[in-house]
Amino acid sequence: MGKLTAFYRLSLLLYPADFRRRYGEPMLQTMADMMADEPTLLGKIRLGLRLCIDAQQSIVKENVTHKGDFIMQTQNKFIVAGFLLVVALIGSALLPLIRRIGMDWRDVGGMLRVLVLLGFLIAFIIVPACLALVSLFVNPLQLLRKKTVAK
Amino acid sequence: MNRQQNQLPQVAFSILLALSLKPRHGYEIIKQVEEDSRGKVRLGPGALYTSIKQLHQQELIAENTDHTDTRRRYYKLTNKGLRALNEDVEYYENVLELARQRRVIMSEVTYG
Repeated sequence: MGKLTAFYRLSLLLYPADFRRRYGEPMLQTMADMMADEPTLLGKIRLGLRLCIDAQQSIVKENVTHKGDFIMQTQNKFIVAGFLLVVALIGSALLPLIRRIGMDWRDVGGMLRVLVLLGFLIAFIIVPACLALVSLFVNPLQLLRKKTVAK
Repeated sequence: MNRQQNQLPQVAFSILLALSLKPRHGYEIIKQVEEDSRGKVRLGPGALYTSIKQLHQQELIAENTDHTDTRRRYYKLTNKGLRALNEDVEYYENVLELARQRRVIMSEVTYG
């Protein structure tokens, strides 16, 4: 069951950091208790599947709650507003570019090219820029180094 | 505050009910909830600790440090938690009573 525990420990990385720090170890212990209580291999497999679904649902729930809390904090509202402003500025800068290329909304092939261009722009410029912006406030390396030790 | 704002989610209610007897750690809560619901509510660690976090923030439960098991974290009901649980039980009692009076608990719908 060591591999399963390692896998479960890895899945804990997908929870928001503060939740993981506080409840990571108790969750692992609970999972180990549940596994130890299953006598048969079939039961353990069934439980493993149940744990996967449970983890998936709670990861989504916790991250949505966490992001909601982040946005609701007054100082973070400015960050989110700034981010939206940057996106709007980039969008408005792109429109004249599309017109200059001579794009017609009915031209499907041309639209696809623009979509690909936008995809590259988002993947290689906007997302790294946003990550850089976020890293001004949070140090991702520091977060990775922190162990899931119970308080 | 109206009833809807006050009412506990089902998982939270089940956790509080499980903690009403004695302080318990994660797996004990899961087992008790399953037993109380006759196998209908089966929690995993994710669902359990997501609810525990919310109950903790609302100060309905607290960590119990009065135990010898260092590997596990125990939780106990607070006075506020007990009050919330009692309010919900009272609400469900009223609903059940009303359902019995109106003969809602039947095998088939019979109007008039």
